Amino acid sequence: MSKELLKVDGLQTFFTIKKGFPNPVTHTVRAVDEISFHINRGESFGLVGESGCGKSTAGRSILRLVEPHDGKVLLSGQNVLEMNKNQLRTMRRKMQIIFQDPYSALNPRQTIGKILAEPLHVHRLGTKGEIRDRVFALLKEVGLPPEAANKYPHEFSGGQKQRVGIARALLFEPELIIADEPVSALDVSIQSQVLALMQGLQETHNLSFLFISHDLAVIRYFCTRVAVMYLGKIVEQGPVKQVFDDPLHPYSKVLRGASPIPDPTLSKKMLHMEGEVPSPLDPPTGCHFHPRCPHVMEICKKQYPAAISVDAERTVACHLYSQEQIAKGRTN
Amino acid sequence: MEERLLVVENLTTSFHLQNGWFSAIEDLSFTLNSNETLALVGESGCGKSVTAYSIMNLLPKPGSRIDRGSVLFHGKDLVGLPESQMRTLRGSKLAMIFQEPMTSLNPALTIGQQIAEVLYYHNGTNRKEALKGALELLDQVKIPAAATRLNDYPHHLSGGMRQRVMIAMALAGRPEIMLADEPTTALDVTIQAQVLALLDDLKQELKMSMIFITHDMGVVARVADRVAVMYGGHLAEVAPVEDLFANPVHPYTEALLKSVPRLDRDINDLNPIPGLVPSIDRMPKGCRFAERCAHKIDICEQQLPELTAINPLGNHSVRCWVRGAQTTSNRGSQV
Repeated sequence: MSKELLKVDGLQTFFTIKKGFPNPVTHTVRAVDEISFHINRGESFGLVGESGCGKSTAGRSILRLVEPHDGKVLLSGQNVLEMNKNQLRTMRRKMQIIFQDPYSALNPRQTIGKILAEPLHVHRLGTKGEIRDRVFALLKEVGLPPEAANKYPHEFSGGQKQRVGIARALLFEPELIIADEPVSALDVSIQSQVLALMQGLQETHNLSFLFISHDLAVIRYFCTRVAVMYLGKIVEQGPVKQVFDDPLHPYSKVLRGASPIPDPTLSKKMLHMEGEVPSPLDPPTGCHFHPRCPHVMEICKKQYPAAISVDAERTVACHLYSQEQIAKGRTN
Repeated sequence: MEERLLVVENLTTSFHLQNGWFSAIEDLSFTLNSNETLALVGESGCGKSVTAYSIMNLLPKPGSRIDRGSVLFHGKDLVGLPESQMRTLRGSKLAMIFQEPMTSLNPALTIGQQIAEVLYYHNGTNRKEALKGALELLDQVKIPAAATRLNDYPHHLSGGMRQRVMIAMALAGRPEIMLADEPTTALDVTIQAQVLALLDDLKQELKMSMIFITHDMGVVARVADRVAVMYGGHLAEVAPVEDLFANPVHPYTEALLKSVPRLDRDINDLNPIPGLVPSIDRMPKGCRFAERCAHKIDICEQQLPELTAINPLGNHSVRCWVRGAQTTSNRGSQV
């Protein structure tokens, strides 16, 4: 088995929206615009960015919950984007998703037992008895009592519902779990419970994670590598420690500087920059970040910078880092 | 000299559930000094918002009531103040901003009209001057091209801009105290950083005091002078911000700080706090954190500890049998 589990190559997902009255004009939103990354077996890869940067769309595109426009998504070498319906259904056993909002992700009219058993029935995996046993085993694994099977979602707290969401994602012994802001809706003490659970499961099941979050601290804890997204593009990617401790791209620096740290001696020095994320409907020309960038140059306004490998594991898409400059050593 | 601007004493607020009245906050006592930011921090259901709503007399009625206690503002008790008097204070001397600016703004009025309305009612300015005042306020909260923004509706604005409009409205009456209820929770981190910096500047500029409610320890570290950690409707610990982070004494504070992932360092194992926050109709008899506490002793589940000062300065207080100073004579001292 190769080390690489998932390879995403030049993935593009566009949405078209109509705006205006009485003569609507069609706009194209390049929600995910040629992003490439890979995830190794047993690894957690983080996708971080602010609202509207396309991180959730990227996750959904990989599962084909939204249809990507172009690119390749290879799961163990098979291109997910070329699969027909039947192949897709089988593939999805290997790739599961956990949603942000456990309240709306569970059917309020089904018991937890039914919610967990139904997918197994659909895929005809086992007899009734076997499925029952599997459901109880899963509940135990995610730290819920067996009685939970007879209860409805509203009888659970947010953290417990997210545990059900995790149990559902584990049903088919997947290889990859796409976790879309799995702890963002939860209280801090519950957040760490769920993170610890997911980490334990990752070890026991040798799972790989695509972990989507806006919270840098959570990504740092959970992931080994990370990609920073801004308006549909990956601006920087590399090992989590390097990207957060020594960010290269000006946007990563801003994101790092703006994230509060629970330490008054560090936190009072928090950076901020004016301006907001431009509308993805009409992103700036050239580098999308140039109107807010403190290091903006002429070329930034005209041309989108290509991703440059800084070392074996790190890439950055910024004109500040041309090949020559990297050879000379870092300029910042 | 620091002035005690707001003195909250034994504040107890109850809510009506199917089977009776249950207190959401109980015997809460704290002070807010002039020109100070006090952070109220805790998880959902700990009573931090209820505290703010009780101070502002904005509790939903019927269904909730203040059972006892007082909120002294410049020596005047706000509890039981007639609505007409409360109304003149609210929006002028006391202002509040909320978590979700979209639901707090009127979608059918332009933001200029909404800000001008505050000036019109509280300061008695005529409509034309009120609009001029609104423009100045928008400038003050650093909204770019404020003049053109006056005629925008809330849906034209981004989340960060809406929160700035909310802040502008809160500033309209030149408040002495601003209560901020999770004002940046709904915002992206870079926008959050902008809004926090803005609030900081305004506080200095206008000599305001602030009660800042949040669940995010990172934000607490950024904004607070003093911190009050709440759990289950009680204050668990009150301390100056540096003290609290350097030397968290209450097991809940300590566990909370240990269980959050950190951006600036590697953590191999999170130490999650087991269990759930108790709901208000099932509060334990003793210390409310006892069942989740790693340090509990027998008395913890029997009897409620008092909030007592643990340092000579008397500005670091803890409500805990194990770590508090229950035996000393300063029991029940003013926090």
